[in-house]
Amino acid sequence: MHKQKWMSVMIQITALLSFLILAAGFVLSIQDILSPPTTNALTKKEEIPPPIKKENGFIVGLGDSLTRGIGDEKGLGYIGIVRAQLQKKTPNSTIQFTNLAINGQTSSELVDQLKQHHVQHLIKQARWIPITIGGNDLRVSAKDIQKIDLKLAERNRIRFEKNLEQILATIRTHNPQAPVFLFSLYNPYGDLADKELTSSVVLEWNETLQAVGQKYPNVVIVPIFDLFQLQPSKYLSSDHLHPNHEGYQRMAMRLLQVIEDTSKGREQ
Amino acid sequence: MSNLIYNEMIKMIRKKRLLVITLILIVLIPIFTYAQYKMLQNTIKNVGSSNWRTILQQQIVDQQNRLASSRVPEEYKHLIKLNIQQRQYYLDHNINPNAPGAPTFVRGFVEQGISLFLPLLVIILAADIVSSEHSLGTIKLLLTRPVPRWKILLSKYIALLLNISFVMILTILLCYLISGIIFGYKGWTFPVISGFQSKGEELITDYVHVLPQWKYILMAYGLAWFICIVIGTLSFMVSVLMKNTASSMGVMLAALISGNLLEQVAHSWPALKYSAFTHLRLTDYLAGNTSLIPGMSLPFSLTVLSAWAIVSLVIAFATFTRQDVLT
Repeated sequence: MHKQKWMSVMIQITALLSFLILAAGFVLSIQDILSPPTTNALTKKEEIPPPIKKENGFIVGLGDSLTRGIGDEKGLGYIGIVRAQLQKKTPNSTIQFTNLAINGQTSSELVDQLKQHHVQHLIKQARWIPITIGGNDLRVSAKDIQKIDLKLAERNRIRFEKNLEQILATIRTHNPQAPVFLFSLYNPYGDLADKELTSSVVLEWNETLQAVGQKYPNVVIVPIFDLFQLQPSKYLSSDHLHPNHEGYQRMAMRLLQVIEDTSKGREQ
Repeated sequence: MSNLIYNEMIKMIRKKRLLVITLILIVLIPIFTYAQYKMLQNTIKNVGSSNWRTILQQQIVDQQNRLASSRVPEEYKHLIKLNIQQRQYYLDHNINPNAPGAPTFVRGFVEQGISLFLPLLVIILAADIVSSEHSLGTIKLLLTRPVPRWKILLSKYIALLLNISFVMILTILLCYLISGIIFGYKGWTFPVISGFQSKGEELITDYVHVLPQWKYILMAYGLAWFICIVIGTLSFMVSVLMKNTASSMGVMLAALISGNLLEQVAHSWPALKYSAFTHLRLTDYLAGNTSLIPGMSLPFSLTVLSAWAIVSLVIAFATFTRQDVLT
C-alpha cells in the first residue's frame, strides 16, 4: 500500500512536469511558426559526400521513359535487367544504381536537369552512364500518330542536335572517363501504313545521334532500330510505344555486350 | 481543490488506464519501428545505395515522374511540386531530412500519430471519466459531498489534462527507448529545417531556419499536446452527456475516424474547414507541408480547435451542474 502511494505521487509529479514542458513546447512552436527568426538564414553548403567505392559499379541512368522502364510488365526496364546481370557476374561487389530518368523528358529538359548540382555530383561518381533521349523530341513532331509534320520534325531535330551536344559536353566535363551508352531511336510505328516515311525520319535522327556521339570520347551509340524493325508488336507493350519486357531484354542484351568490353578493359 | 484533483488522479491511476496505454505503446512501437526499418531497407534495395543523398535525389526524380503522369489530379501535382522543391532544398543544403536515429523516430511518430493514434489514446483516457461514475453508481457518493458540482467536474478535467500530458511524455520516452534498439540513440542535435512557406507553386524559403532536433520534437509534441487536449475536452463533454462508458467511447471513436476520413475530402467541401477534425495535423505547419484545403493557417486552426474545446467545456459544465441524478 505504501509503495502504491509513492508510485501515484511520482506519477502526479511527472504529470505536472509533463504538462509544463508540453505547454512550453506549444508556446514555442506557435512563436516559431508565426514569427520565424529571419537571422538564421541558411547558406548553401559545399557538400563533402563520401565517394562511392571504385570497385563497385555505379550506374547512373539518364533520359526518358525507356530508361525508366515504362511498359515492362515486370517493372525492371533494360537498366534493371542489366544491373541484375552485372550483379550476377560480380557477386563480390555491389552494383549501385541511380535512375535519374524522367518520363516524357525531352532533350531540352535533360539539359536543364544536368544543371542541378547534385545530378552533376552523381555523374561524377558514375562508372556507366546509359541514356535514352530524343524519343519525346521526335514524338512531338507528329501531332497525329500517322501524320508526321516533316518541317516541324526537322526543326526539332536541329534543336535536338544542339541539346545533345550540350548534354554530352556537360557529362564529359564532370566525368571525363565513364563510358556513356547512348541508345539510338527505334520506330514504334514500323507496322503502320506510313512506315517508310516514319522510319526514314527515325533513321535521320539516328544519324544525328551517331554524328554527335562521335565527337566525344567514350560515347557508345547503342543501335536498337533493328530490334523493333520486323515485328514491332511482339516487342512493344500495349501502348504501342514503349518496349515490353522482351523488348527491354533485347535492349539489355545490346547494352551488356558493350558494357562487358568496358569492364574487361579496366581490369587489364 | 487540490485535494479533489489528487483524489481524481488516484482514481485514474486505480482504473489502470495508464497501464493499458503503456501496454498499447509497448506492443505497437516495436511494430512501427520494425516497419520503418523494413521500409528503409526496401528503399536502399530499390535505389541500390544507402547514401541518403542518392536516395533523396532518386525520390525527387520519382516525384518528377509522378508529375508527368496524366492520372495524377491537378491539386496533387501542386503538392508534389512543392514537395520536390522542399527535398531539393534539403539536398542543396546538405541536410538529411531523415537521418536515422531514435530521435528521428520520435519526431516521425508524432508527425504520423497526431491525427489518429495519439487522439485514440486520449479517448481511452477521457471517454469514461464521468460516465463511469454513472455506470458504477458512484456518482451519488460523489455528489453528496459538500462541494459544489462545478468543482468536482473541474477537478476531473484538470486530472484529465495532467494525465494527457503524462501520456505524451510517456510516448516520447517509450518511442526513444524502443526504437533506439534498432536505430541507435543518437540524434537529438541533428538539424531539422522549419519555416517553409508556399505561394502558389513556389516554395518560399525566406523564413527557413534550422532547429536542433530536440527543439523541433519539443515543439511538435507541444502541438500534439494541444490536439490531445482538444480531443480530450470533446471526449470529456461526451462522457458527461452519455451515462454509459461503451457508448461514450463509441461516439468519440466514430467522430474521430469519420472526421479523419472527411478531412481527405475537405479540399472540395469547404464547410469542413470548421470541423475540429480537419485541423488535427498541426505539425504540418511546423514541417511546412502545404494543405490542399485553401485558407488554412495556424491561427485559423487554433481558433477552430479552441472554439470546439470551449463550447464543449461550457456544455459539459452546464449539463453536469443541472443534471438530475436519480438512479
